[in-house]
Amino acid sequence: MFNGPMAFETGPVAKVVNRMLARRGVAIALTPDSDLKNSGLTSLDMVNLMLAVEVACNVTIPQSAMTPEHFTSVATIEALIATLQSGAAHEIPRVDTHTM
Amino acid sequence: MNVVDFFKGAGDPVSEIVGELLHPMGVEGLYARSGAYEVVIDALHGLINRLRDPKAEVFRFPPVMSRKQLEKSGYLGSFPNLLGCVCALHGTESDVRAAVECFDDGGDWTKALSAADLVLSPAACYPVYPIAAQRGPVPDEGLLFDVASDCFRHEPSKNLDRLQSFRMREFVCIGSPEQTQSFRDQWMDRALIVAEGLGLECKIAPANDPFFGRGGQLMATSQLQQSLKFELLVPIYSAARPTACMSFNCHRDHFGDVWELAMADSSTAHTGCVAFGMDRIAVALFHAHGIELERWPGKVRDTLNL
Repeated sequence: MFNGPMAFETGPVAKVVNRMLARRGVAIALTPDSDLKNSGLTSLDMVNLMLAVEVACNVTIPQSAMTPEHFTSVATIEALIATLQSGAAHEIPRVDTHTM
Repeated sequence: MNVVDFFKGAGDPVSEIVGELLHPMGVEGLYARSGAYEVVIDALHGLINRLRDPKAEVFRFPPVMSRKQLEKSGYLGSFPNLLGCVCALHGTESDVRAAVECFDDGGDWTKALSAADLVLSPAACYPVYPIAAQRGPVPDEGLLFDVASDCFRHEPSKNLDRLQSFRMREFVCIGSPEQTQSFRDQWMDRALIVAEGLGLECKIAPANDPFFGRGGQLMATSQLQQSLKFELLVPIYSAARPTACMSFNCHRDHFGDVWELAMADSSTAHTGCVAFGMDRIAVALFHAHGIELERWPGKVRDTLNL
């Protein structure tokens, strides 16, 4: 049975990313591990992506999880969402930032 | 409570400056500046002039800039909440008269306003990149600019280190990634020497810009992780929350991309800047040394040629 790629294409995170890439005019064959920054998404796109994923997956991403590492690829975003949906948000390592 | 007391705020460590050197103008973060205060601003400009690379080209920008240019720079994506846009009464003579009559009748004439082609400059360097881009490829040795303007950010506050209208001066470097990084790093070293000459207790620390909204946290973390921004911090209100008086920034290829700034080999130019918060430095000096210039330490007066 070969349902991996099909499942990927229909996942909510992949849908959001593909929509964003299409808006940017980027035509690439997205894989779960594609580096999103290298795919042509700007830092502002990444912010919009994060907010769109929250809506699509019905989760609120805590401040501690708003780090670039969680948004490098569809796979890392899906892992983050899975962690949040399992109620294990406390397992996400916190990154403190300077707030001046 | 009179207006001065209101704007001083309880327990404000710089309260003496308000009333003596700065006069509140009825809106938070907006002050009339006294002659003594401006003596220090002028002296700071003189000091920065002496520190300027002789190859730097000087521009003094108006307090407003092209709305289209700032939009193109991506400002709305990062700091839409801080931007001030110039509005005016457009339309026919009867449209304008109707707005005035609305005011005369006690109504809200501002509803008739619409956006003009201008925004209030939020930082001094934004207008320089399109000017540089018009000149064609960036020379191999890079470009240096000395720019300044009055700036506006919509963040009303009682604190003197967060004005809505303030003066900013910047040195800007346009060149290769190595040139802009080296420019930025050299200025971080130089700033500590300057601060010592000014008798200011300080430290340099990694920093991030105040990107808008929850999503801005992602941009802020990315900026920190890439070490793109540092600030010279001076304890004015408290040591725990010191005030950023200078900043040292690498923009990487952001403005190069936006304005198609290219090196001779067609690679995208990088940009960087060092920014002097003129009013914040002046407030820090008055806070550190008192409001009477004659009593400032000799070393500080010498540094400023006072």
